Amino acid sequence: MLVLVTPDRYGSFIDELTQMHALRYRVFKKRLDWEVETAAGMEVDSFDALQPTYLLRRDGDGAVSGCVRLLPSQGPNMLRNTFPVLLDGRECPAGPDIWESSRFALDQAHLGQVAGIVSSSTYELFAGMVEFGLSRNLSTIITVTDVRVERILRRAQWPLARLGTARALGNTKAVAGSLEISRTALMRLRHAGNLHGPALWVPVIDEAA
Amino acid sequence: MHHIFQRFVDGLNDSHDPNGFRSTLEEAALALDLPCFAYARMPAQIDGAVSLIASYPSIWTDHYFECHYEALDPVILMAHQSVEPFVWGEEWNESNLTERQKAFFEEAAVFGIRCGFTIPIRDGDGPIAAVTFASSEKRESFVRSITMNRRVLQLMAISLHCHARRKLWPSNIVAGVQLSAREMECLVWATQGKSAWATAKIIGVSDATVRFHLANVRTKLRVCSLRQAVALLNRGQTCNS
Repeated sequence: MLVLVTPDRYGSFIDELTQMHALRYRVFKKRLDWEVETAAGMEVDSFDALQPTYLLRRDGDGAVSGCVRLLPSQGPNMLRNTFPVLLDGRECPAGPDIWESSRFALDQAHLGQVAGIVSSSTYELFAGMVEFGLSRNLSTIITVTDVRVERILRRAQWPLARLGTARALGNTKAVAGSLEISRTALMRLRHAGNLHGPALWVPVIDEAA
Repeated sequence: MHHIFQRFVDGLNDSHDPNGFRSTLEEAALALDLPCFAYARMPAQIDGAVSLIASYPSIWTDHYFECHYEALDPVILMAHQSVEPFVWGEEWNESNLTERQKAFFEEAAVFGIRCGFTIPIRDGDGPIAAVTFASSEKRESFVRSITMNRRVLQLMAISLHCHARRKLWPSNIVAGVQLSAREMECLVWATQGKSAWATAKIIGVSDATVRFHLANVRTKLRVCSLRQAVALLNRGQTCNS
């Protein structure tokens, strides 16, 4: 199940947020060996200070096994402020109907065992992103990712439309692109991923004092 | 606990200068019933200047910097070496402490600082900052409350770091492109005419690491040579000054 964590509810999700930063540490520092900042087995960057919205995948036992971070395109974001080189000189797309996703991560056990097959957790997180987008009337999610995730997106029937050429950055081949937010995109993902209903669940009240 | 955390991140969000950060730390320290809560930004070189934002009594922090305690403070030295968070004070590491360090801890105790919990923050090359929760309690009861609240304290530490990073550190923006702290550091030394080898010696990393960062600088700035990257940095500085 996916939960939506908005900045006004961070306090209600202390456990989940801590686990998310630990998951990001395992994925981006340990597995992918990116140049990231870490503390106490957690990964964090300065974009986490921009009050992002997080989608978190929670297992039956409460463990956080997947995450993605979402920021409005009109404020500072990774594509515009850190990796504009990936836009080949073009303006970074921006508008009220465009958000940026970053730090997409899934625990190893949820990536799927068979090469070429997209795991159900991956479909769930992708569908959650589209559901979030539809709930906020978005048309597009832009993202900086690597060619590995780009392949997964294509296999999942949610292809990335490139915004520039893929380039070697650090030890990964990075690419910027946009993803369609629409009912059709959601139906395609649900069909391909064999998902039978909504992936994303949202808390409606703040916790009592 | 979730209210304390929510108030803390809301406070961080509204903080835009060291004073704002300090009052946010003071409020959280009070809510957590800890006398002190501090954020130290560590220099790349072990003998460089440490900058501090703290809810410590200012009479102690002024005295601390006047006496250059940052050069012998065992907590700072430990934060340089350690990847893991650690608890310090009262019988901590006693046999390894010099006489001056023992005297330093005794002085700190006068200001109500007996033990603490420090979370080092690192990038790929080493320590960049540390967050400390300090207490006047007996070590035993302090450790109990740290253990109980470990997750929220760690989350507070990284939230504090990312806000400080964004708002208080130099922006590292060259020609509209955000560089990492290390990339900027290597580029700045290049503008001083230092070779990759010399820069490696100065900032205490390997030659290959400096070359790696400078290669990323060239890619991010979309230039072919280091000389062009240096020119972009210099041009930006002329415009800003």
